[in-house]
Amino acid sequence: MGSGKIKMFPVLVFTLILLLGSVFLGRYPSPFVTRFSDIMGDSLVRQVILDIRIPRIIMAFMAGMVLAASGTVFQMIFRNPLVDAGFLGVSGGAAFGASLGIVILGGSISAIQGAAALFAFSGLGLSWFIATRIRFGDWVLRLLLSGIAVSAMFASGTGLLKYLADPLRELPELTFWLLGGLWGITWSDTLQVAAVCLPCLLVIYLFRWRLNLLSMQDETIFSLVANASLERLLLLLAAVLATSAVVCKTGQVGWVGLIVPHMARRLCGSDAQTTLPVSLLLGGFFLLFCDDMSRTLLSGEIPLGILTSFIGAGLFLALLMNRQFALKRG
Amino acid sequence: MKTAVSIENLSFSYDRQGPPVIFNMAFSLFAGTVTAVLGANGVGKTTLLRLLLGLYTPDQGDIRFFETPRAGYKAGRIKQLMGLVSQNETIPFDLSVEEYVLLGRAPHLGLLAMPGPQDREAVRTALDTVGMSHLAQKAVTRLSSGEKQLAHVARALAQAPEILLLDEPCSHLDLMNTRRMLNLMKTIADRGRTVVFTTHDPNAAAAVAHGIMLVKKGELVAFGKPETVLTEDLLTKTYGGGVEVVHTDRGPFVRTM
Repeated sequence: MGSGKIKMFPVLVFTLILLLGSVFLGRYPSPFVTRFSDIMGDSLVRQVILDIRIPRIIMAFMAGMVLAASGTVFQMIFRNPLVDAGFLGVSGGAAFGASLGIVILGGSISAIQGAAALFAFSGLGLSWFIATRIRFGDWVLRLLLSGIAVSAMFASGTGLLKYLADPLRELPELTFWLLGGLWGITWSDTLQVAAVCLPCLLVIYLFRWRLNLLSMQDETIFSLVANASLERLLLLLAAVLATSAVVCKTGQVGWVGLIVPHMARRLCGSDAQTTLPVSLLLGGFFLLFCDDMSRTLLSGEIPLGILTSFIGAGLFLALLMNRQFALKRG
Repeated sequence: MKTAVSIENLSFSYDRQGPPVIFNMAFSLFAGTVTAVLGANGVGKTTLLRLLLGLYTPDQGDIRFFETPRAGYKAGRIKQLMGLVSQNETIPFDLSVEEYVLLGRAPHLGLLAMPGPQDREAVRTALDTVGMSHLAQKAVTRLSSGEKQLAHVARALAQAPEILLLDEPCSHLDLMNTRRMLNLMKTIADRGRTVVFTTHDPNAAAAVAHGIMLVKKGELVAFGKPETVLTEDLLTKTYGGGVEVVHTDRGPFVRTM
């Protein structure tokens, strides 16, 4: 654990540098780097930074932390390193809800976000309910199987809504939402998301050592933990609530929840007491880095989901193939 | 001697309409003893351990620990009282041996507490007892089967339970590791803990157990000292024949014919 804490320090330093540096990245007044003299000399630049760039930076960092933390929770509770919020019908439900908001409910922001949150939770509820009805396998397997089925149902619903959407008006909005992005994020959005996410992140952070326990076999957990079901439920609810709050504002942003916990484990070992804080930092770093590219590289926004998937999948392959990253403890 | 476990009239079935997996079982185990549960595959040995642990609720019967009914203990206290090493335990993430054994301290920690120096000391003692101190920093997933099994026992020892349940602890072990595991059970019992383990090997049971239970179709065929239980008659009744018992200076030796 000691070496894990030592490795956390450079991650923290790089993260702080990126957080600060992101303030100086953008397309206004000139592409890429905003000079200090521009900030001092132009009140519009200052306004852009204070009202647009900073809330977006905070939102990107927070969203990255949430997706990475919930990825860690899902992977450990489901004892499966290939799981993220996409399982259990959470992301699928949110995507379906948002599509419903755009195509059927008129497309107002509140309709899209409300429906996304409602269906994210419905995804979890439905997966949970079906899991209690399955008569074979252990709890984790039952929940995963029902989650996969529920996600597939939502995916077909989203497909149907895409088919029904007006190709000129609704379909582009729907497609852009499904690809994810942080355009138009305001202070009010950031504070709303923070109000939900920060308490959830605090719960996950406080329970981080117990995540190790909850990743054991059912029998072992039973012999060590007095009320494991309640702890699992609390952590899953915190993860889903925070994820749906983020997804409502950002749209679908894939791969963060999957790749970041892997990177943290490769860097600091598997003890969640260290892995979780490192995941939070790396998640924030990763999403902020992608969002910086999304809003800086081209004159138009590159959808965030495209960048996270592209870079995430690349990093994942690099982690799989690079022996340097292999855990050396023995 | 204190009675650590006493069972009266214990019955259990997975399906209320189906046949009982455990039927009308009764026995008492003294503290500081090793008890082996012997029987063919599927006779209810693991189910018996799970009933003792509280993972299953009996259909009828009474389970007491140190003269107090199970229901008289708070959920948290029961976790301190009983440890389990289950069969084929798997660990999905590569925790180090030390981090893994530390999980055994959970019943002694508050809900949001992190393990402290006292817990790390308990881990060191547990690793010392199983002879694995030198592997403390190695990833559990990289241990051999024998080392893994010993790490599971160390985790259960860090829990400091009064009663330790081991489900087929020798099933994947070679000769020397089996000997090591059996000696370990003896050491644990000598320290006043009560050990109950299931096994398919009557000779392993004879080597270490103070008492042996023979189980057939969920019923207790016999329970007593190895020399009184490991007889051809009782083993034939338990396994259905083909068993020979040779009496040696070191006690009964069972072989198949």
